Amino acid sequence: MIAEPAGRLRPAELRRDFDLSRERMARLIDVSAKTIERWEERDGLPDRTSGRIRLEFARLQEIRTLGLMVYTPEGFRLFLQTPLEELGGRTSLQAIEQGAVELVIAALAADYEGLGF
Amino acid sequence: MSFERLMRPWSGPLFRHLPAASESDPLDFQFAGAGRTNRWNTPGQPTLCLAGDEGVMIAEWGHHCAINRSPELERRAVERAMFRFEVSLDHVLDLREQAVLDVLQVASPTSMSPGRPPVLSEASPLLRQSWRLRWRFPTIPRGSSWRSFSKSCQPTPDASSTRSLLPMYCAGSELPSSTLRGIAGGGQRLRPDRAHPALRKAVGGTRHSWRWPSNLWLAPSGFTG
Repeated sequence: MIAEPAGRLRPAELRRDFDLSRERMARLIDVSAKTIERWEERDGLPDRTSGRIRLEFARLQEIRTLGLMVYTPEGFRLFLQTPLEELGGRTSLQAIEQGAVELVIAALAADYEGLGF
Repeated sequence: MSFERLMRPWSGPLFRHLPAASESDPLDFQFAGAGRTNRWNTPGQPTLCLAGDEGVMIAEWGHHCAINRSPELERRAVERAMFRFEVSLDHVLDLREQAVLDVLQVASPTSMSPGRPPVLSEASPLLRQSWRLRWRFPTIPRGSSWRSFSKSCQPTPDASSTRSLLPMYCAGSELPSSTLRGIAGGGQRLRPDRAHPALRKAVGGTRHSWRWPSNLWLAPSGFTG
């Protein structure tokens, strides 16, 4: 929807806004922490990166973009760590780790619209 | 009796609010209906919720923050800008009318409630595949905050409250936001409201009118919350 093209993804920037350790970020995308470190050093994903990983990254980028439209940077980090009923009591980070990215985007969409919820 | 014979034109102002810093067109509804906590539609059903006045717009935001989010999160939401649209609808089906309910084979307005919107949709394959536009008309009393107002918006399934909610249904399963986006560049930014810090925003912008490109229906509800 609003994800930036995969070639413009900035791993370090994304991790900063999510306020995550490399280890936690690695779990979100299902890669190793060492891989995250390499991506940050080269400021991007290698060309040979798989479609699945690019998609995972793009979805995180979409959450970041939408989250920072609705909340302050501090608020976005708090949102990610707040258990929400619509996520089954999970935090957004937990939901992302468990593959429920769409639910997190839907939660932020509700915050964006703000009417009828 | 066919739907066509029951349709009426409708026009008037409608309101919405968006993150003030958002560069999105106020007529961009890409996130409409995407939430999972929608009170008036099933998850994923394209639904556009607009307020009938500024008070409702503020109360709706307050309701969402109070019910679905924490006070800490609410305080960290960015400022929101308010927009007013002049809406003109050629074909509106008012589901508060008994004749319409009869056509839909819905027993009474009170058979519908928040959390049970499929009841109406199930009544008609036509509505099940319809775009849905809803707005609410109760006016926030002057001088009261959204908190006190939202308390008064708790579900009240009595007959008198059925006139305060006018959800609308639009024919056709496709109502692409790109169509709306192309009609006008935006609505009129309104004055900031003093009752809610998140809605404070300097006014600006221009006023636009737009016409909905398809048929719409109005639906009743026994709830105002």
